[in-house]
Amino acid sequence: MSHIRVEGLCVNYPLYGRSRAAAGIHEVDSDIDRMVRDKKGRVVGVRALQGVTFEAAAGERIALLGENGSGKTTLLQVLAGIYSPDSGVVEVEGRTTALVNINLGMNAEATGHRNITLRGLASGRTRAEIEDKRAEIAAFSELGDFLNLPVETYSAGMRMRLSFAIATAFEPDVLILDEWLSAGDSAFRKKATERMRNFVDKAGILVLASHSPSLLIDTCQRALWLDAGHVRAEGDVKEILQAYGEEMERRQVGRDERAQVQIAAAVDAREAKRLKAEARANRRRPAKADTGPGVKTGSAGTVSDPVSGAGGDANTRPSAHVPARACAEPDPDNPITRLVGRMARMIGR
Amino acid sequence: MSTSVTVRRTVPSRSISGFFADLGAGLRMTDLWRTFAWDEMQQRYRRSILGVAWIVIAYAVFVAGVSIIFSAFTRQDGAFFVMHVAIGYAAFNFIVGNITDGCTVFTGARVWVHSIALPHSIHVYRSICRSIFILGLQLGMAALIVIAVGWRPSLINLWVLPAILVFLLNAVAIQYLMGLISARFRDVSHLVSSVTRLLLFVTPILWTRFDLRGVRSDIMDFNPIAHYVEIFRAPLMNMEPRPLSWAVVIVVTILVWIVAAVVASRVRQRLAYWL
Repeated sequence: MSHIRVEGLCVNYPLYGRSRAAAGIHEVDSDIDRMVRDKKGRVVGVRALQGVTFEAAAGERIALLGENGSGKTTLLQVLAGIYSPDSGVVEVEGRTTALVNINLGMNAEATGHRNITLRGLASGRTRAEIEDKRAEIAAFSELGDFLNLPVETYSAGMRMRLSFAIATAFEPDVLILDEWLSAGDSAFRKKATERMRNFVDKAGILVLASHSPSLLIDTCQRALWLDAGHVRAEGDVKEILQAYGEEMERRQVGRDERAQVQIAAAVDAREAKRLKAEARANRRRPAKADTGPGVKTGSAGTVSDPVSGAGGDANTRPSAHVPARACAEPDPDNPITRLVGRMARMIGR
Repeated sequence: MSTSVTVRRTVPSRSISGFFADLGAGLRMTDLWRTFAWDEMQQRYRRSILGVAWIVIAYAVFVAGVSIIFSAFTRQDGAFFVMHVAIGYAAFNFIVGNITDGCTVFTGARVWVHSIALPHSIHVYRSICRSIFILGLQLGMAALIVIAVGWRPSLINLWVLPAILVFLLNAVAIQYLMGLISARFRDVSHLVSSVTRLLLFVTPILWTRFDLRGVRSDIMDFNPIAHYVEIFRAPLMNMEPRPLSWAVVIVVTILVWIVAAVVASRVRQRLAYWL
């Protein structure tokens, strides 16, 4: 029997000093209440999940949808027992297999076959059980001889095939999958969808997070819509997908407008900065400085000082041997050009 | 992929029993941590020509070098000093290795902690497996060295068995504790690596306690590592281990376990967030 019960689940994702750089940044409007702050207003954590409650009975296939950063992956990781809740109860009945991050849960230096053993052991199977399933896993993953190569030589799609094949071969009672299933090609995706359906027919529970409506409709009946760490809605997968789609469209309009304004502001700021740099360069430019062919006066501030001859890359250094058109105009906005110019001036001083 | 637990109830917990449950559950997955340890050993030396032999070579070079140079500073006879260095250095490597390996026991297992709900102790046992393997190799080399300088076995050697048991007990608590601390505070591993370098000089490996007089000898007794080395080395050198050393080791072991149990039960569940 498999069963999932989640009640009042709250998870604050702590940042442990990872936030210092972001502390001063003003967040986007709706996210403002998701930051956990200390007394000085510095961000110390993110409220990843806030009071999530739901239940899943045997044989249910649950779709998890929500925007990027809405808490889907965190919820999956809590269900998998990787993250522990700050408050609330999580009960998972049945053998659980979670495939949350495709790059994790493998020893990249070990061969595919070795990883079958490792992950079989890690999910509590005996060596005999693993050997029983090995041929099936090899066949389903279609990796053939690649199984004798280290996993680090695999492409993302190949890793995904192997992970999925191992995870489903051992027939867990609860299967937790994150959206990376889309890394597979269409043939594999079809096969995987098939397998997920069969799996649930054996009274398992599937929790699948994805941004692909077709995949969710194909595999799931019920949907859970996460929005900023809350359960926004729960119900039939098609209805929820429709409501979600409409809401996302509405939000995107507002976001596009906001983004336009922000981009315009950023462009203005950059232009102002450039003009200022230009003015400064004009002031500093030595009276008889030869800025070389092809280099326009407007960007002279970024050209290395010809007197010192130090610094500068091939493009910015005036040279008699280089034909005029090879001397590309240095982009005054290029941070490297700016840095080189500044270094040259410092040395020349 | 996740655990084989049939009903898993995850609630915020700070109970000590949770820590011991973790230790027990991990211990039962013997096959898994042995496989992890074996893979790790193979990978570490896979692309080097001499491979695992490097452990033995580095050890033998150290023992030879120290025996030749430092025998000039001791009043002990040559054979005694060589045995003292050979056995002492292997024991020292095991004890101090647990502290340094402990610093990476969880940070190095980030990939697994983030993908599978395994008992954390799995990673500790994997790491200890490797320490034991290294100790075994070094003791094998030590056996050749001491036999060459005239060592003969005696019944008193059996005292080394309880010492090994105590070493393993300490290894579990030390690695679990250091692993948690250095996962949370990344400076700790740097601190540890600078302190362990000093430890080599204040522990009787390069010198013997018989060479110390008066107050220096008393100061040495404040170094618990010296006592750990003593309970292992003395019986192998056909000497009775000092009762003081056993007393210190037992007290320190109990303290380490208490600290580890208290710390681990409070923060064990936070580990995935720290990595």
